[in-house]
Amino acid sequence: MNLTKNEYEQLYQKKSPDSPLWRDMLWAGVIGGAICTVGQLVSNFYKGRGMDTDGAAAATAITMVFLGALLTGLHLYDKIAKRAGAGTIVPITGFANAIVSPAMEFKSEGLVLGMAAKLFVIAGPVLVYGISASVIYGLLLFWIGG
Amino acid sequence: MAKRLGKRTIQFSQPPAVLSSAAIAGEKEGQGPLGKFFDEISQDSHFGQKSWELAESEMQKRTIALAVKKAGLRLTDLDCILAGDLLNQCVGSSIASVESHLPYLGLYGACSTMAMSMAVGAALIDGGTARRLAAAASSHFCSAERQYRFPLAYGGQRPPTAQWTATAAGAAVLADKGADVRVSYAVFGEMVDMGVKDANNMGSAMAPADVILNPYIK
Repeated sequence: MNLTKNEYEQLYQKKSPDSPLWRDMLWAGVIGGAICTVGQLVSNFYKGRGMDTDGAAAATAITMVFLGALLTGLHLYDKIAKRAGAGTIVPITGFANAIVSPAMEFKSEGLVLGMAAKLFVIAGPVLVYGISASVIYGLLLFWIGG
Repeated sequence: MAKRLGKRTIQFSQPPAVLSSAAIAGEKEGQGPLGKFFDEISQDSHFGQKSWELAESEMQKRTIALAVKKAGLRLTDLDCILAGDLLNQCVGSSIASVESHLPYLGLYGACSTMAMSMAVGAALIDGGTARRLAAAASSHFCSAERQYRFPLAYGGQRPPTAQWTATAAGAAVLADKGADVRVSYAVFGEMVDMGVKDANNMGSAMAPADVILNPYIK
């Protein structure tokens, strides 16, 4: 090999097939949009039963997390996600999938050191940086005044 | 005694014989172009076990047993087992050989483990330290996903360059004599790191090592 690492990187990136971006984006839009439509229907249902906006939003989130967890448990969520990509990761159902799938995977290593310890192996970084960002935002708001 | 030629080639003075070989694969692999060459295609990816790691062990154990049977031998006729897989501490292979009560040498060469186990096995036989041995390697899609990538039920998307780890095990029985198929030479490769960091592009990471060995394989 007489190539430098940089030359090799250029070579393999040129030779590697690119992701079909337009197709991926179409699928992400359609499936992600469908999930959001279901969420809206659920929200309308709760509001129609007399819940206020805050209550309906919380109940909708709970329902969507349950549906995401259920579809993950039935091994359907990963099949949909194979095509949908960001369309299934971004909605709250994707968060449910990121928690439930390690729980299923690591159950075989025990309930304490397996399932419980590895429950946040995917969602962990989201929680760490999400909560850290909210603390910084809160402090800024406190000092600067909102 | 084997002779060393040049930088990386070994020439065996009495080329060890390949008495038999066996391969067991999963359902998806059975549907591929190599499907008809497998001795057994398992419809049960759990191989009757409760974890994916134990499933891989069971698959490798059955493959070694099958290769030994095809050679007309019994497991106790072997002097040792040389085997490897992709898991931490080669746990799939070490558990696979527990009940054999044979000396076990664990090898890690990732994709090269099968060739490596046959090359090292041939060197042991030609050197007179073993008469008959089994060389084996295995991988299981589910145990590899769990160790290197994501939980199976996680909704991720694979880029076009992503690989699929095969669910398959292979084994060969080598001996000092007894068959016409022989291991005459062995060439060992070297580690080549061209700085590829994309876990979904293993082909690019491995290709440079192959370029170095290519002149020998032709």
